[in-house]
Amino acid sequence: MLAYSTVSQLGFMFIGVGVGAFAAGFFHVFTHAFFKACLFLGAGSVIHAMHARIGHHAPGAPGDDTDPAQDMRNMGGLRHWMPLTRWTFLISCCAIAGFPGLSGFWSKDEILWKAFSSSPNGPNIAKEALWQWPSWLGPALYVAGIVAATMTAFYMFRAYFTTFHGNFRGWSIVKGWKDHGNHADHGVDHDGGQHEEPGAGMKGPTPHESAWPMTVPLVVLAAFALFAGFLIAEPIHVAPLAHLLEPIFTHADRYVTARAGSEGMMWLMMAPGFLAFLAGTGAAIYVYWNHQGAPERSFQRQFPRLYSLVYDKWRIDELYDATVVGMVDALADIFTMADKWIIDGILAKVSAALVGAAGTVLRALQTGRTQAYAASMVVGLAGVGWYVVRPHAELSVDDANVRQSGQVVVSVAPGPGYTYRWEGVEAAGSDFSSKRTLPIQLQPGERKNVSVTVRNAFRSETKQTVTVARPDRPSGVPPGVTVVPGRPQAPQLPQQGAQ
Amino acid sequence: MSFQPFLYWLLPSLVVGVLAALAPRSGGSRPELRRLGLGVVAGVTVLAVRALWPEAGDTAAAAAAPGTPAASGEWPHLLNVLVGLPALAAVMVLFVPRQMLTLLRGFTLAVLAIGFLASLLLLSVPMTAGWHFQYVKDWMPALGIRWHVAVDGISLWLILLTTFTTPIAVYASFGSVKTRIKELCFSFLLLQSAMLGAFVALDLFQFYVFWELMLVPMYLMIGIWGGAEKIKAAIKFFIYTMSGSVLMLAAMVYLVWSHQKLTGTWSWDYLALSRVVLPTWAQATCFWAFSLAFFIKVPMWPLHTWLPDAHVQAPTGGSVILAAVMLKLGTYAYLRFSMGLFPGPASSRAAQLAGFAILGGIIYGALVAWKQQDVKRLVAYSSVAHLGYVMLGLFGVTPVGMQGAVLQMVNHGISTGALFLLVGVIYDRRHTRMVEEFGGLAKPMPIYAACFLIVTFASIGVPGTNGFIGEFMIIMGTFSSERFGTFAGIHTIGAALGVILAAVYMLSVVQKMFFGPLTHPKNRNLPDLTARETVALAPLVAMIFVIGFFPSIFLDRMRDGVKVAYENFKNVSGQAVSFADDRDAQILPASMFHKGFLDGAPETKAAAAADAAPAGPEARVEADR
Repeated sequence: MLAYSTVSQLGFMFIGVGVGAFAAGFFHVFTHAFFKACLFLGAGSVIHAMHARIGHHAPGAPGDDTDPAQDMRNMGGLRHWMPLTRWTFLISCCAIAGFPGLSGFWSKDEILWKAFSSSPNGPNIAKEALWQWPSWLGPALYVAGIVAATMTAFYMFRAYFTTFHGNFRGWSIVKGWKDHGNHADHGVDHDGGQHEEPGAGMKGPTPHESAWPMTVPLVVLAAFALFAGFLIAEPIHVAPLAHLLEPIFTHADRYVTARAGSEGMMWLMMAPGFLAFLAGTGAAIYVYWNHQGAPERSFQRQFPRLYSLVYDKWRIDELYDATVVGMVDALADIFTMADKWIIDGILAKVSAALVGAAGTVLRALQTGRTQAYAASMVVGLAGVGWYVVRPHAELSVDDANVRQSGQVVVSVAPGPGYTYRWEGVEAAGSDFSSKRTLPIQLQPGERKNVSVTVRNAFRSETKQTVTVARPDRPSGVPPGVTVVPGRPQAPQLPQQGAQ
Repeated sequence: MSFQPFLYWLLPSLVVGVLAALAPRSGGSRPELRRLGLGVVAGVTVLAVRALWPEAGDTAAAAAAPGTPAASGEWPHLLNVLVGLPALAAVMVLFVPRQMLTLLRGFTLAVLAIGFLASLLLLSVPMTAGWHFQYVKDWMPALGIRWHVAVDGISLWLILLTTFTTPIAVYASFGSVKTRIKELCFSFLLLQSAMLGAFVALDLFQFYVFWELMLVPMYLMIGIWGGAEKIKAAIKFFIYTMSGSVLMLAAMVYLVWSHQKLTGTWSWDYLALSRVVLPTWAQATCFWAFSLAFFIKVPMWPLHTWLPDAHVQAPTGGSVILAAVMLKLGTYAYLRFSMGLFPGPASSRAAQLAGFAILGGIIYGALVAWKQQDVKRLVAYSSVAHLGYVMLGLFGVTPVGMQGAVLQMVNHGISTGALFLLVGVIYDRRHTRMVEEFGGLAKPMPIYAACFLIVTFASIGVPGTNGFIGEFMIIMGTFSSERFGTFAGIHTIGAALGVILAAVYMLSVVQKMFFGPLTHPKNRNLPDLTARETVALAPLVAMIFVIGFFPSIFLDRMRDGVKVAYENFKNVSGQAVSFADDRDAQILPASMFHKGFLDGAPETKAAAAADAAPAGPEARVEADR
């Protein structure tokens, strides 16, 4: 409960920062530190007392993550046995609920007053404000704050009354009851048995006040919760903390202006804050002191769904569980399976199967029969012989200098007993010769077809043609040099002679 | 007659001769003759090799290496000793009788300890830009293969990581491994030599030799001392790594051939070859051939599945070395060789590769780790995630990201090495690593639980531990990287998401193992850490905090090394992208590189011509056809 209360108080602090009351927001952080620490420590003191008989939450209990020793429903009436804890808790309760004069009152009131009265302006972008603070927003925030403050007072005093007033509900108090277990070992069940269910059926000792290492800090914190409010008490012009913080926020404060029409209403606007305290506290007194929580139970009967929704913390944890956690969990499951079956399966098993299959196929050829080997050698030799007997014309073009000088060298692959006849350029002779390379001079923009006929020793012939071209002088409208079976050309280096 | 010829000529052959004479077992007919014969043959062999060694090569190499070492007070043989000592010791271990367990263990540890102390000398000089402790000697001059070792600010820390973690792994292994101690000592020593050799090698051939040599002892370790499916895991490990590195060898040969066509000189030297700019398509092909070998080693998704198998089956000491050092060779080699030799594709593919590192490595690895039941498998997948960070830092190519990546290599070696040691501890006690077998271990084993938690925090990257510094710098580098372009933002988000997931899987396993009720009766009376385990873990835990609180010890020394790598990459990748020819390779002028980077490269006429040409990169050097 106290942790959720902190969430609510953080809301106040951010209202403060949001409306430009930086010092007030910080001030609430400051006072909240005192009374909330005191409340937590008081709760710890109570839990410590409850541990005399009630252990920690039994692991695996369904649905409920509340530790029975921390469950307020098991407490009650502790004011008789724990006076120091009770008084410090009460002081802090009043402080957080906004009892006039206590620290929480000053800081919360300061925030609400600033929310009501100030109007922060967005930074100017090109002489135009980035956004306008709507005039209704300040009062709206103020009203929301007052409602929240009422609730704060209600739930805090609910905690106070259920814990310290009424009848004790943890166990039946038996004078001189002796603990069978080891006090230091709460929650570990040595004999395998559970603690009995808390309630009237269980017997236990008188709850005791905590020792001085716990109570002394309680008293100190309660004292601060009482008086820290006077660090910034603007209505009575005592604000040392605000003066300390002033230089830090000077830059930011320039964007905050007072809202028109709110001057002089400071004292007036304190009244709703005080009324909120009275209303919340009064309601808590009515419900939990006078009627021992009966109205709450009837509310639970009337609106069971709303009650359980609120009881389950608006089910935000469940929402996260279902979306973020569930998604990550499913993703991890998918990845784990994929890792095992797809990645390892494909990379390791499939490639192993391929290698194995290749081995099986090749093994079939290894018969050990000399005749089969000899036959395959004959087939292979015949294939090689046929290749040698046929002429092959394979042209290659070296056009490294074509942009610079227009020089292209076409060459044809050599072979046994080959002669070559070039066609398509003037320099080529008309007869077969042993000239294997042919330099060609091209003008800018010129294209030429060059073909070569290759004749081998058996006088069979074959012909191959390539097209060579030189790009136009104004820096290549046709994309580079065209080689017939060419790759796309990368842009060439800028050469100095190309101009 | 001076003393030196005796030292260099006779002493080695005498030592080898005596060792060989000790080798055969006594017994049989005429043992003395056999001993004498073997001793003489071995001694004469060494003498002959020494006598026939080409003297001209010596002077050439000496001339090639400028006389910096003597001037700066660096002992040029330090790296040779670091690499050679474990190898020599491995050979000597073979001559120790296998029954003398104490001698075997003591000798191995002593050698590794000497290695560590010697490696501390590397810290004695300021790690300025350029190479340090450089030593060059011709090995196979006809092929241009040289013995070329040197360190810079990057390899310095990986060498120290190796010399630091191997003794720890060996010491821990001696506690858990009780069979075949002699083979174990031999494997560890040989592994140490090979790993260090790969880190200091600046000759591609030499690097390849060490890279492959590393596989053999690790293969033995998994195959001999491994778990139930050790043979399968060992073969998978070997074939995966081997298939990548054969591709790399092919690319090396192509690169060397291109260099020879351009300059007329055979050279496998990294420095000489980094001046070659290949045609665009060849750049891409060679880049992928090199990088695939490294990505398998790292391992990057989807080439990672050998890693969990190898880790799960390997003995504790093997796992520690595999995770701490051998995976780093993949990342280091990517930084040194893939980025150094082919910066063009490394730059233009950076964003996509980083996507792989984030999705496949960081996020995928983390999620799969989360779902593992076997703690060792979980740590193995967490390695995939962590090395994803390292690769991300390298892909981003910003000085801060690269420094973070190098630091994260060291971090991962320390924290994951410690995690594997810790998993080994519990495995030795319970002979199971399944998470559901444990729970509430913090009660019987509080010190163990505390160590595990500290190392877990380091692995997650909690501020104050080493992991935080590395991951933070890498994420910074990712955000500011120019190479990622518009992807920088989304990559940063992905990388940050991985930090959360790391906490999810590590903390959930810690919670399941150490806290909650102590359900399993066998876990009730487990003994806490023994003295040996404590001693093995203590240095690692200490280093976690040393790096976490005083990272500048490490960052300052690596800064210049990273700067050189970064500036070379920046300059050369621009050239490689915009000026690569489609047909011919080119030689970049030396002025393109950081000053001091090319010191020690072999001199070639054509390369000198490229330097002389004032026109910069467009001065194409005609090949000697």
